[in-house]
Amino acid sequence: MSFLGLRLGSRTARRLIFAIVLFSSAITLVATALQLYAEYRDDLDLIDRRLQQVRTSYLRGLTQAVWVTDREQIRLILAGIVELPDVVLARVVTEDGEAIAAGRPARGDARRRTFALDYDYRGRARRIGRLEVEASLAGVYARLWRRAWTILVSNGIKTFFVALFTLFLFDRLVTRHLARVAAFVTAPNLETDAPALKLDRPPHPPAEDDELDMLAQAINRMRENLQRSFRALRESEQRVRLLLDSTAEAIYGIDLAGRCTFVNPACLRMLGYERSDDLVGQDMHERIRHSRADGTPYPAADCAIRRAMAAGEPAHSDREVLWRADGTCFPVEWWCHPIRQEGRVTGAVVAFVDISRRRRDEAELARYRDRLEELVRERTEALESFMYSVSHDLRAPLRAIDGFSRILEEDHGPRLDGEARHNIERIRANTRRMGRMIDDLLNLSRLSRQPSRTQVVDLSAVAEEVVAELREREPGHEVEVRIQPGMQAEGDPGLLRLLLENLLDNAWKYTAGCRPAVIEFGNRREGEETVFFVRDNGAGFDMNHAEKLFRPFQRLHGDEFEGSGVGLATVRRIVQRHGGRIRGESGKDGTVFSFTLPGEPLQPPGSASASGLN
Amino acid sequence: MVLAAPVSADELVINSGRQEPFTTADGSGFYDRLVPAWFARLGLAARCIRLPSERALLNANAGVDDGNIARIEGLEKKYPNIVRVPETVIAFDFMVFSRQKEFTVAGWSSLAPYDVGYITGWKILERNITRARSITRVRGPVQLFGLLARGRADVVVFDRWGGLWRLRHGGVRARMLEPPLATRQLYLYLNRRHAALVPRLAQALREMKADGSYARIHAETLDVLVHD
Repeated sequence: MSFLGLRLGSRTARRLIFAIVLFSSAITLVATALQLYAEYRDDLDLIDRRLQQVRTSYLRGLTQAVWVTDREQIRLILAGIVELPDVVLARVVTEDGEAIAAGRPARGDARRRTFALDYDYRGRARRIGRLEVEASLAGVYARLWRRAWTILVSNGIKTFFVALFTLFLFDRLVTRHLARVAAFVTAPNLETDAPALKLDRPPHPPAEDDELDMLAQAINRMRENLQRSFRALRESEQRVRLLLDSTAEAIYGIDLAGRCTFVNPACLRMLGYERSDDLVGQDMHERIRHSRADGTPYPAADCAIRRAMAAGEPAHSDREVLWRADGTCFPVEWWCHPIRQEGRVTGAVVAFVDISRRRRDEAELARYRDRLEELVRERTEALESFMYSVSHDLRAPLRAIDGFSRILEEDHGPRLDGEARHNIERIRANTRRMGRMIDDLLNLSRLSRQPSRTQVVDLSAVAEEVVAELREREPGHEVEVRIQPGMQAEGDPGLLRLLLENLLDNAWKYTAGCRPAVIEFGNRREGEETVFFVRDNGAGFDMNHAEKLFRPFQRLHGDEFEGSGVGLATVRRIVQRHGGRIRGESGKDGTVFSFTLPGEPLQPPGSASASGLN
Repeated sequence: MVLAAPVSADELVINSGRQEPFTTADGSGFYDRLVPAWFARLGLAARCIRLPSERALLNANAGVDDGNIARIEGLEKKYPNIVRVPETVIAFDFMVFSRQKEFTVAGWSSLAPYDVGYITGWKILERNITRARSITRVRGPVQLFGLLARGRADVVVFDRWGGLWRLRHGGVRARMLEPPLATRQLYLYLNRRHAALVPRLAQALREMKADGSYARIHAETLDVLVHD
């Protein structure tokens, strides 16, 4: 819409006109009202002055006429009063009630004045009547209306032309430029280097730039920024697209309703679809039949991806299967990451890989492991059987050697020299030592063959018994033993006793030269596990050979400490049979053997108690 | 006559709407002299002042003045606050005055051929002079006799003593034609607050008429207008 080439269709222009007309009309109305009110007051003042004029000009003569009861004169004077502008009625009411009037009462509003007619008679003013004058306001109102109309019409015309001129100015100075700016901003070509926005204005130095120039400059800067951002975004998108297209991982996006928003080629390939349209827009949970590991479906409400998205948390699973377009399924490992925009979750990206090969490899590996374990078990049993047979068979000749050595010593001892007796003694000592070694080997071999039973064992009590036996065996070895009371564990009572016998015997043995000798048996919490430990301050071992500690017949000390080299191997075998772990550590503070027994009842670690000195 | 001059509190003021020769500026008019003499007979001080005719009645009725002299009977109806003293003060003759015409007055109709003038407000004239060649009403005796002097009226109607005084003092050469068109008896009216004086005043006036004091005043103030 245009008028005289002006853009009347412009809302801004229409609002401007409306505002100008409204404001101008309001001002006009107010001004007119004030002006009319002032004129109204002036007119009323004028009427009041005229009424006052009646007092000054007519009252004296009228009083005289009333005094002499000259009715003609009274009427004449009243007629003269009525001739005054706006005065419509003049009436004299005499003291005896006679009324003489000129004119007619006013219709509508009127100003009325009553003047007393006092005549000075015999030295005293005497009231001989009153004059009532009535001035109609009809004339005042008529003049006000004429004036109002004149003002309103003239102001209306003035307002119209002012508005028109303002519109013209506004159009020339602002609207047409804004329209150009709007057209430029509405269709920004960010992909090409289009010319910058230039307003159709006369050239002027930069110092004379006004707000429109600044607006155009700001828009051009904004466009440049947008163009840079757009290009960066496009490059980023291309990179992302390249990543999506080239990765072997399947990736798809979903919105909050679970509908697919994008898929990458790997996803299409794995799921057996040709085009992204086959999936985009579809409910992915239903479409790819997201199912449990055994292939049974579960409702979308239970879908871990949906739940993770709703919670705004990443999620991961490798225990589910997806279904291809051809109706076959495959196991997947998936990762879900929620998409956040302005702090709000708007969807999620799901990446998954086909773990069919991994599953097959895992199954294969399990089969190999089972087979290996079977082989180990068979060979271990054979070895232990062999060890048992050898140990058992060795006992007879060993007893014969020891027996004959003792006979030799008893029957021929006095005839033998000292060196011969010493050698017999060494034969017997080594025979006893070998006997203990055979006993240990037999114990070790029994560990694998004898069945185990599981019950709650009071380790503290067992340890106390073992220590008591040790004290009885070697009463001269003074050791401070601290056993934490109340320690319990689930396991085979015989094996656990053997375990503690070996560890405490070890500690007892290696603290032989210590003053004071301290042995401690306790436990502590390490994460979810309870770790039992046996600590002593005796001779330690070289940590460089720590890995040899638990091997049979491996001894890290010389002959100064007696032993078969099978004790710690037995200990490890017992711990392993209970599903636990064991490690040995040695340092300047002593040696500690720590072990776990997974089946043991949980107990809070307590302080160790000293069992006294021996 | 005293024109609205202040009076002492004890002195009664009787007003009159008549001019010369009944009231005069020097107080030598008929009423001017009659009133003090009359009231003196009751031991009261009184004097007469001149007022416009209707004003005189209004003042008497309103009690501004103590009474009005002299009026025809029957005014009590219109002015309820005044009471009449039932003794005639004077007879009022409605006389015809003319410069050139000379005829015997024989009732109101005898004025029919003439241009007639009289004073506005004289009700008896307004009622009776209905047929005339022309009728001119004026506001007062000066204007009335001016009509006559200027020949604007053939005859004018006025009261006897007033007319004679005008003829004598107004410089108008005219004659008073007999007999009167009508005669009315005039009385003193008192404001009602002096009603108690009425019988005594009536008696006093009769006594004045009987002992010649009334006649003397009449002769010295009115009759001189005829005899001189």
